Amino acid sequence: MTKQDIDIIRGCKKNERSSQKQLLDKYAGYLMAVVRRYCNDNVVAQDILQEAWIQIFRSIDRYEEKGLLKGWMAKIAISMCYKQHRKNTRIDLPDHLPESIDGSPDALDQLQYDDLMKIVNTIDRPRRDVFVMNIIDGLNHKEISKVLGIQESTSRAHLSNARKELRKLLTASTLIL
Amino acid sequence: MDINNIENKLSSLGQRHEEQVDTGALWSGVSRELDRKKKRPLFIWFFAGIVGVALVGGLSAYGFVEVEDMTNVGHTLSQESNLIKDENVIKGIAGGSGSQQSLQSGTMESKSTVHEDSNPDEEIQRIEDVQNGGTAIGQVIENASRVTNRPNIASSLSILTNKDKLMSDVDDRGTLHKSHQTSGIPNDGGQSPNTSGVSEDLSKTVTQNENVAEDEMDMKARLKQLNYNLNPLALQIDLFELQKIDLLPPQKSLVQSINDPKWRIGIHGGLVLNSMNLSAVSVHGGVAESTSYLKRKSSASPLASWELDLEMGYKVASQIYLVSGLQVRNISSQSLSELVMTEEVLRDGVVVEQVIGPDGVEDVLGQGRVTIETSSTRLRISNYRELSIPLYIEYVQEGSILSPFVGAGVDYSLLLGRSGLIHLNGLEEYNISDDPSDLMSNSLGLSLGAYGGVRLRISSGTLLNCRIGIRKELFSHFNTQSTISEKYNMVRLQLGIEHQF
Repeated sequence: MTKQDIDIIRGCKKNERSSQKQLLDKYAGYLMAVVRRYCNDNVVAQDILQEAWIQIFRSIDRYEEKGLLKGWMAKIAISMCYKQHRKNTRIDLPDHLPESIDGSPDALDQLQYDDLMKIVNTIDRPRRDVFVMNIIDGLNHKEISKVLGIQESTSRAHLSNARKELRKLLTASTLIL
Repeated sequence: MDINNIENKLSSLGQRHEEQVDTGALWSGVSRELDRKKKRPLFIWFFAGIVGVALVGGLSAYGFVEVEDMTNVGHTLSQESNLIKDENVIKGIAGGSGSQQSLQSGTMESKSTVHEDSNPDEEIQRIEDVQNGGTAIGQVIENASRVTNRPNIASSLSILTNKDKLMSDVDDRGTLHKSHQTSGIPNDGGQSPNTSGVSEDLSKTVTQNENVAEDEMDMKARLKQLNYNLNPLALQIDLFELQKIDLLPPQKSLVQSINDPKWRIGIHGGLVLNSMNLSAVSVHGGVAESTSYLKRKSSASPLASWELDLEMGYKVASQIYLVSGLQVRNISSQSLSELVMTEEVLRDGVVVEQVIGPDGVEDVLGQGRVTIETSSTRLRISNYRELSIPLYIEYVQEGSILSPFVGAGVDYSLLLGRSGLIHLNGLEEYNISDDPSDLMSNSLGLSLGAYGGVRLRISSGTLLNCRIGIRKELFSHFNTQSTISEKYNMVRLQLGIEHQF
């Protein structure tokens, strides 16, 4: 964490609006990306993002500066996504594969974030969510179990199954040689 | 590139990936929400309201206890009024019919009106005291001074002071009365005393005493008004009726409290309003191992049911009771909720197995793990009998008629019963015994509770108890196949009858 981040966080803990705005300006894009990984609807995602930021500022006293700030904020954003999901708001994900994927290793290396996410999004939920939380957003199984309300063993099982499913998908797309 | 490389790449890209956001609009919305005071959940207001009502009730009752002191002053004034009758007797003497006999009969009349049950010598002394300076008025002042720590009766004291001044005139005349009383007795064997001058003085005295009586009436009205000022929230009609009870002579009073009761036993019945949250985990053992998880996503709708308890209280210190007993409670609840059921099937060997779930049959081939997750909307109907042993500490502000109280403590409970599930999502109901929430059996639980209320004394040692309480119950149900935790939130409204001894 940079010294600038530390200063900003300390300002936020003092409830200084200028520090809060700096934090939001710096990480809003990243958090929106986190939210969009769990919510395909842009309008709903913006609502979730706003709620997540409010929650971040209200609970920043509990943030210990030794932890990874992005990870801590991501956990809150993901929790807000699932809170919204429990309110029965649709947060559907795209279920189509990328239209054209070249099966060569070089092409795979050139795949960008959006292409990879399109592949990941074809995994059935909640395995897909566990995979994204663990692999991309860095949540451990204990944290995932809290967010999803499942047992840690279930989370591990979901991750394992998601990997298998992803392997099948990539094999079917001849991406893995 | 294998799966690990893809994961690494995905992780790296994901951490760096950002989406476009209108941060100005976002900050505007966030800062507006941050400036707004956070809303408290509805139930906090609800419980705060209950506590508030209990406090207001308690304070009102406390106010009434204070009013009783003022009523005692009223008693003394009644005695004083009777003493004025003595003056009328004296007036009769002044009218020319004075004789030792009539004076003595007048004195006896005073005795009968002032203190019916006291000894005649004391009463004669009391009448003489009145004539010498008004012991009763002194008593009024003394009684009033007992409550001078209450600033809002200072005005009544000033009335009393004026009254004392008026009565000091009576004292002057009292000397005349006394001389009349002594000189009126024929010492010389039939010679009548000259009473004409005395008659004039006594007429003045009586007029002044009538003024005193008017002042007294004003003072009573003022005191009554003060009573209500002390206790503006109490029901005035009720207070008036209760004051009348207090004004009865002790031997006729309906409400004689017993001195320093040590024990209390009571029976209470009432309504329970409850809501329930449930989560469940089921673990099935065996070679062909499977694990099911249940999570309810919504809280239950509240339902009213009944409770009955036998309760015993022991006074452990002044105004502090230790309360225990046995409570029987019916808990009914309906839960319309989305149920998420995750079933994992683990196989040790190469087997072909069918797993039957709400979505149908799935074949499980070979070694490994298969996870089936389904969700459905279900109506869950529960009906339990709960036996609880409470252990509460209670603080009582003891009054002669109304005694407010508050208590808090824990209950150890045994829950007996079952619940059933009805699917509402159009799926055929499958064997509900697969659902761990249907396997609930007798269970132990712990709850935390608090209550407040008021007791009304209806006869010696007997009290009506009206109270409202809240409870948070935590249950864990264990059986061979499942572990289920439940949380009940309860509001209890109870009415009971108790006996002190």
